[in-house]
Amino acid sequence: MDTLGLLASILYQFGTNAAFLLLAAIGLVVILGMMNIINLAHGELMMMGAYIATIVTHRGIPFPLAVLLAFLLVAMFGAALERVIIRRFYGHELGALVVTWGISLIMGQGTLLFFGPFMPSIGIPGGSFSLGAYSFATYWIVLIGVSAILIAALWWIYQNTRFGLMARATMQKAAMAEALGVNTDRVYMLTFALGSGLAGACGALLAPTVSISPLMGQQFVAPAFITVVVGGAANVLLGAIGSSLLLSAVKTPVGLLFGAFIGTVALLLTALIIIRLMPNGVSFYLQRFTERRVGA
Amino acid sequence: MKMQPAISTVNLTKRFGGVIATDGVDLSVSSGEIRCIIGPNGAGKSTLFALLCGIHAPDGGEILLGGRDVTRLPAFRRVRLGLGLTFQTNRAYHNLTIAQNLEIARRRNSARVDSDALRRYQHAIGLFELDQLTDLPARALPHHQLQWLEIAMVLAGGPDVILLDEPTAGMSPEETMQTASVLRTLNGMGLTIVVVEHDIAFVREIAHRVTVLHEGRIFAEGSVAEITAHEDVRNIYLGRA
Repeated sequence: MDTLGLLASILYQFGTNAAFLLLAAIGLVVILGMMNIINLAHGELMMMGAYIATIVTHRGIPFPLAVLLAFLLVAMFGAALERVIIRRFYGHELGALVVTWGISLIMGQGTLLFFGPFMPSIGIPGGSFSLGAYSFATYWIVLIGVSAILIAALWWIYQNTRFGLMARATMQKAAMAEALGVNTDRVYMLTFALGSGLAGACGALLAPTVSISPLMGQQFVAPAFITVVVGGAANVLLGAIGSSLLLSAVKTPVGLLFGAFIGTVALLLTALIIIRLMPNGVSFYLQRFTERRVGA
Repeated sequence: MKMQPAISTVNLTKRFGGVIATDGVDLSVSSGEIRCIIGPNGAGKSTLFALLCGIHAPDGGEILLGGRDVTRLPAFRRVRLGLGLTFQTNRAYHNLTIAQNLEIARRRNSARVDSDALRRYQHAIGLFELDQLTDLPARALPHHQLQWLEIAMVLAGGPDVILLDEPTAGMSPEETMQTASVLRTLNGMGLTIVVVEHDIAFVREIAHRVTVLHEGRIFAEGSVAEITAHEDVRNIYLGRA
């Protein structure tokens, strides 16, 4: 029984680590991976989602509805941000980096001024269950499923909807998309709004698992960037899935054997090695592999 | 009753700093015409093309599409009003399949594609030999067929007028002649075509009328025979004017 419990525990740790990386990264997959904007305000967009979900849940709104609300409000905020500021920095990567850093400072400090240094968290929904000596939080199992659903939904949107096709056309060659009648300004705004909304929703989903504070977003920034960069640009969605699974496959056993801190160090070292050995990211090799399989 | 030109400009002007790249151009292309715009390097062909497309905003003058003033409209609005654009450097989406490439304009503009435009599009993908290759990624196509794909992508949006910037750049003489033949067929089906070109052999094959630009102005205009016989035109090509 304990062997089964241990196996389940390892699998659970692996799943939660991968889900955390994926949830931290999904919004950035769109904004950095597709739009090529180094969005240093990504953590603050997640923080905004977490605050919205926490505030409205404290007021009695059911948690799933709070997550949806976080998505919508942060998406609207993202759309406004794109219209007023971000659109002036397309093609100026360093400019976008500095301006999004500025936005992150304003959002963090603004939240501190308005809401103070801490906010009471919401409890983890769903309770827990045991298998032998090992205990599992139901909510994290739900989060593993939700992260898979979110990335699948994003893939479906980009593969099968008119918006997805227009967005891919715009991100790859904006002038050609415009020549085919696509309103590229609108596509950029909607894409940035989608990335922001997803960051907000993921912040809301992770809110019950972390402390709510104005600077909480910073803990998501490094995992998000690492996941997207290790994933690479050849296929950002496939890359994010591949890199979150790969990094979790390193972090989980090392973390179980030597503790969470060493697990994180191992994750960072692995990221460094992958970027050194595969500068095009995991997705480049995954794509080549799948194409070879199809070709064969 | 006089027919409205398909596309025209009135006193169109564009400056870059102290250089006048387009200098009071009055161009008028009739519906159903194939017009070639030629000129030596630096004559202002690319600037005029960019102004017609909406890539650059003019400093003065007007651009009319089917009589409607489109001077201040962005490129995508002009496209939705029936203008098709292709560029000199191929801009087909290499990572998408041929079907997906063709789908972009079709899904975007499906409301405005009439039966004539649909017939032209379907005819074109047949003539360009793209109809059997739809599941192939565009990057698998040879250069000339990528150029054809770009023209087909534009036709999928159902334009009445298309602007082509050196559509045969990099093609062999046979491929160039095949392109000319397809464009003549599409023109016979009601499509107005404006081509910016410097390959005179290609111009001879397709042009109804030729506009010669020199130093940003219209230097001469007429049939291919008139233009090729024009002493001054020959001189500007040889750098003597």
